Amino acid sequence: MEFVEVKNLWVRYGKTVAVRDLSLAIPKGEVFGFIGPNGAGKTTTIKVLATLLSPMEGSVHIAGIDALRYPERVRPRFGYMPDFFGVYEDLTVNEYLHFFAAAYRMDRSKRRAVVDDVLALTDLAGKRDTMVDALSRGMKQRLGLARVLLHDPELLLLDEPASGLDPRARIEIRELLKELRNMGKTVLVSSHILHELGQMCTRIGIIEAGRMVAEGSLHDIYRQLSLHRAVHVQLANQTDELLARIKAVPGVESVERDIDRISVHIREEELPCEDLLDRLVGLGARIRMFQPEAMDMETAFMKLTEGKVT
Amino acid sequence: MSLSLLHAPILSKELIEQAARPRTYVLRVTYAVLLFAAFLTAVHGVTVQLELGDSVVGSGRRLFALLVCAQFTGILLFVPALMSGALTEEKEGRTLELLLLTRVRPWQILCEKFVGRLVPALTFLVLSLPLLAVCYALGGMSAEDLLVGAGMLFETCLQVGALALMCSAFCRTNLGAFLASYALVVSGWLLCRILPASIIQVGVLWEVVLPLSLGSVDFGGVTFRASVPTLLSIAASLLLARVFLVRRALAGPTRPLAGLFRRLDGFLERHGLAQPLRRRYRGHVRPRADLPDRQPIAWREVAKTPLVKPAHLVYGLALVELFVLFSLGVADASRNPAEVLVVLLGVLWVLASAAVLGLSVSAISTERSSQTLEVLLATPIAGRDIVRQKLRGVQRIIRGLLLPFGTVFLVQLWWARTGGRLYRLGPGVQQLSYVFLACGSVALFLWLFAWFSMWVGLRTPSRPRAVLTSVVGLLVWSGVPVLAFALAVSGTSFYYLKGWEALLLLVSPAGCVWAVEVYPGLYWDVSEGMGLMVAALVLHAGLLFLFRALCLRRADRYLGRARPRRRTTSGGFFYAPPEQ
Repeated sequence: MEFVEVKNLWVRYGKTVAVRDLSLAIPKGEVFGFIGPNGAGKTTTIKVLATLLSPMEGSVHIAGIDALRYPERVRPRFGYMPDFFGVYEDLTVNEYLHFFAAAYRMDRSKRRAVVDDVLALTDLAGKRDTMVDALSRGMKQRLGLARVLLHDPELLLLDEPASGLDPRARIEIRELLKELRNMGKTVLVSSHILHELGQMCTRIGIIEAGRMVAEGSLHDIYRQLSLHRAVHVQLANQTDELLARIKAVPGVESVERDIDRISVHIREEELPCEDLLDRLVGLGARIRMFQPEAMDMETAFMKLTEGKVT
Repeated sequence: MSLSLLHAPILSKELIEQAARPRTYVLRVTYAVLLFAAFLTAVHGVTVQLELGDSVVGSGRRLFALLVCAQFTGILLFVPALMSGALTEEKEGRTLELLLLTRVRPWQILCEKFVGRLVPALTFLVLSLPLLAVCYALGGMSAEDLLVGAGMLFETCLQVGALALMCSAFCRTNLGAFLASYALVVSGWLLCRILPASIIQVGVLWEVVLPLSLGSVDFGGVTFRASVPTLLSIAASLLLARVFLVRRALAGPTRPLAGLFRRLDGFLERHGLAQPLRRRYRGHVRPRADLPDRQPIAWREVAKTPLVKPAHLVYGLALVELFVLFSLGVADASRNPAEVLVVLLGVLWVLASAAVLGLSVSAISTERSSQTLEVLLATPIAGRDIVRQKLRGVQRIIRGLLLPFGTVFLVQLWWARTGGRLYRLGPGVQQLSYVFLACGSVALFLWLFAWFSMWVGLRTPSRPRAVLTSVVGLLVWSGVPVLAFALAVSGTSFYYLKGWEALLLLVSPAGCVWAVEVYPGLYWDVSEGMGLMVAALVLHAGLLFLFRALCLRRADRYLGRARPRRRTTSGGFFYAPPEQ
């Protein structure tokens, strides 16, 4: 059973169609990355899931509950973090978390322990009595994550959690999300920064102009698009003859000669990286460096989208 | 040649923007309709005169005077609204600092904004040209009168515009500039009315404020010499606007009351008075818990909102109570204490209404502007509970305000019972009915204002617009029925509260409060008056419950939550109205 199931979703703002016939399914424990350019419909979809927006058509089920018919039943089961901070600046960090603990009707006797836990998890324990408006952007974002985790929801809806943050804060947020993945949370996270999602998502959906243009694991999407993986190799005995023999290996698409290395483009479903290494050794190549390039999500994104917005 | 080629980019932008706004045309048509309607009413008086066989020759001068007065009033009403946003709109959009970084000089910004916003105001003056022709045709006025009248109106336009532009340069927000502009203009006009003629007519003051009092003078005697000080006042306003434009371009929010309370805190701490006060009021004005318990929104409203949080509430009420006691002392020493008391209650009502309205209307719009509402809506708290908890601070303020109001009512009762110090309250039943109606009206109207403003705040996306709508709504609701009442009873006994005219007065909250304070004893027919007053209070109680019901039943929809979808009998879906 899918934990989140969205079918044939249509959302309109006046005459503008923001989401067109969008369907997606997220199994429990999966980290689903929602990628798309600005204005593609990511935030709108997340708002529908967060029961903040009524769609024109379609169905949304969270943990088997119809979220459109029973929004009050699903609200305790998810944590929603919007693409802005959404923090009360006149409260201290401790007051802020207790505020939302009370809003989620948590047992009073447990609140203190839970707040301590989420503060520790988000590395904000030292900031307990700091006013929220004195926190940096990265800390505010972590505080937002701490708030989302207070009532221990099964589903996290995170809209652009790392937008506007400096590199250090982005890495911290990314590590935190990996931690949540390890905790078994189901996560829907949106971003328009591709490599960020590539490193933490088990599956991604690419959305453009309100339509889902591709969905699946990164590997599936690359295969769908017939994308090749590049492997950078430095050879101690590089000759034209050796390069011709490498090019003739089944599964090798092309071999490009760079200044200090060669780039071997392979069809990974036919020739995995490990097998390429074996074949090179078998061909007598003396290898100084063997470096498969990370999957090129930007190429996939550019190939799938046309820069249209709703 | 286009204006941009003349290096007037801001002026051209202003004119293009205004030309594209439907509001410009709506305002112009509204103004023209009102002006022509007023003029036609006056012309009707002339035709009646004609039917009676009197000569109408020479009546043009009277019509012209009326036209000038109408235009003068129009300038006072419309020009501040047109001009006050000139610079604050740029400040709110964070574009003023960008403008100041360009090669456009501050004076140029100021002048182009001034001219750009004056153009629509001047078109209002041009609207009266055909009416002037009618006046001139009827005779009785010279070409010099025409020139002086038009010149004075033009100067008034410049003067009021320059004042509003100065406010716009000084204030941080549109709302602040809007209110400050009207406050200045009304103060100037009141100054002309209040100061004795002997003072006004001597020296510079008369000449400086001349255009502001044009409506009440015989403009035929005015000479252009009087324009010099007026022009000087315009220049002074523009000069101040130039100074504020740069100095206050990046001004942050200033909270003078909060600053005063902070200083009071410091004073009490230094003199060791803070701790005993905290102990004394714990549980009464302080929240019982330092952290939220079951109602987190109510906790935050009470513990953190300026004016409502414990220290502010104590200080604020102490200040108001001191003011009330001082005023009561003045009233006691006065020969006519009733008038002092009416003024005191008027001030109290304005303060109380402003506090209640400001808190209620901002309750939700502040959450929207600080982007915390969505986060709150994603929690399991029901929409109606959010609204109810949001009003907890207002509830506390209203309870606190019963102290100064109660002081005034009880002192009046005491004076009335001990030797008839307050003649307008008769004995026995009238005293009791006064106290009953006075206390009832405070509780009723403050809650009515609170729910009305909450309803406006829920329906209006931006805070400034919500505040403006709420203020204008309340002013119209309070003022229009009173004006209608005044017109209906003009020429008859103004002070007797009976008949259908009384209903006109009593549909206005201000009219009700006025009736409670002015009519008892002296002018009331107790049986009829009491019945009318109770009916008015019941009517307003009905409105209170209507606004409350609207806010609570439609809370989720107004707040922006998805409405629960219901299945139809045919198997399809529809979105049910919220909170059936």
